Amino acid sequence: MGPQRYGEKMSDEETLDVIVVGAGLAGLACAWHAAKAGLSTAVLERGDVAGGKNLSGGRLYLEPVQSLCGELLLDAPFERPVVSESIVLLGADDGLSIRSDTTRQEDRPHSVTVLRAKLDQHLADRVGELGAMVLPQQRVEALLREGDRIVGVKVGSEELRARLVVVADGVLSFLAEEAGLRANRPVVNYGLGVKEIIQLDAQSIEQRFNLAAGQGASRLFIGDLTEGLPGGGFIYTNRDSLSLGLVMPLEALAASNTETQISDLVERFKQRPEVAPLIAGGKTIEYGAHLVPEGGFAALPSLGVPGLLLAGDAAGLVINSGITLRGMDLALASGALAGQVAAAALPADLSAEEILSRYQQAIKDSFVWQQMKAFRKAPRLLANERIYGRYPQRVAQWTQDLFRVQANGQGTSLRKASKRLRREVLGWRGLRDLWRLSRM
Amino acid sequence: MKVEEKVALCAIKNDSESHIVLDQSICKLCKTRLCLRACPAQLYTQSESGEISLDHSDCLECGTCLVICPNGAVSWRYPNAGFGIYYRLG
Repeated sequence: MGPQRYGEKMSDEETLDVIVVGAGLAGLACAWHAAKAGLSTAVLERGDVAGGKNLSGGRLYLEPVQSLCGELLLDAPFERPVVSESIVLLGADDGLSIRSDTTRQEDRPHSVTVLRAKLDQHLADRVGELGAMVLPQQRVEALLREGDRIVGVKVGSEELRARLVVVADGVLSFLAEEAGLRANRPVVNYGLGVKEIIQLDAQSIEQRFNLAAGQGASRLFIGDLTEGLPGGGFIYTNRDSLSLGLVMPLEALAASNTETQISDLVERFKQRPEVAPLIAGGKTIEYGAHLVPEGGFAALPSLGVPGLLLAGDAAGLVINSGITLRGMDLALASGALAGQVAAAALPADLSAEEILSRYQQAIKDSFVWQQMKAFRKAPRLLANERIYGRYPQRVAQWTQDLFRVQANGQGTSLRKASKRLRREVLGWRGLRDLWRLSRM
Repeated sequence: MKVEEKVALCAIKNDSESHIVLDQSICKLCKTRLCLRACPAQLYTQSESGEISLDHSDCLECGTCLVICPNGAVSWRYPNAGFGIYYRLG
């Protein structure tokens, strides 16, 4: 076996231009650009279909990927455009909702909710139309090396050679590990997302979330639902279902001394009075869990080795700003850039080193790198437990008190209330935290 | 709703061979037992004698146990092609 056998078995004609590992958003965006440029491209997917192993919270920001992936995403089966945003601070007994709705008419939505199985299968079909092979049930076992170059992959007993391997195999990326790009998986670099899909008819969704027909909402929750531990909850509206879940840093789960399980927290979240009426009568039809690479800029690996490029979650490209949790747009963009680099470099016969350096440069010149860098302090700032315990609790309670008139007839003056907010509710430490967060 | 009921909703094709293998010699000495409460499908259990066991057949393939185990006792790979979780919605 080994190199001899493959020299015999495979001629140069059998070497593909690009092998993409993983039919997720990064892999498919890459394959689309590569195939569009006429490169022979295969996408290897371990699931039964593209998207079959994929799970997202469910919100995709479209604006940043319009120029790179606008054409690929044309007619994509999105669930609903998000026109209603809210954040709810949960205390034990009180909840403060901040909600913003818009009826602004836009040519195209800036953000949509998605279900990955539908979206990824559609994109795989689009990629297939361009002549790329999307091959399901292909679990890549290992990388093929020649010297210090990656020259292909091993699937079962088969060896597949390519001029470039794009590794988009997701958050656990065993291939990035094999390539030496990730030494281990520090617990601090990962969040755990747990999600239920709750079936609910479109009319009920629109009534409960105060939406015009076909429009969508995002509801974020922070505070009491995670027992004071970092993390938060979300509800996104799909066409005829809701995506409801929690995301928590694994480190918080590991460090907590409670016996609470994240699946119990999801149940309690569903029972909160702010949430229960929204999902009443709905039927849970799917349950899932997925890790999120939340290490941020500081945890980014090198983006490849000669012959291999990393994209999407496999490269750790996720931004958690506290208000937005973005991975899908970064996956699409990084995959598209890898595909574009391949499209320009392979016909010109550039060296594997040159291809890698062009990809690294393309990422550095893009919003992907610039935004990861801009939010580089976020992972540390968002680890502050006061954000999830003390502040939501106190601010939600303070807001309730604001609207009260006491037995002695005394109402709350805004002057007194704001003084109390500064001195008691937040305190000097709270003001400092707020100042730091505002400078993130 | 219990987590077993939720996992039962998922389309999972069970392979007889487990894709997760525990090093019991490490688990035996472990004090944290983080796998017991971190697994979102609650697939890890502890016997009365304290032995950790795992039912791989309902695995959601998130990899939490692999990452959270502080002692490296979890050997984890993707299930064989054609097996494991199939998210119909995602």
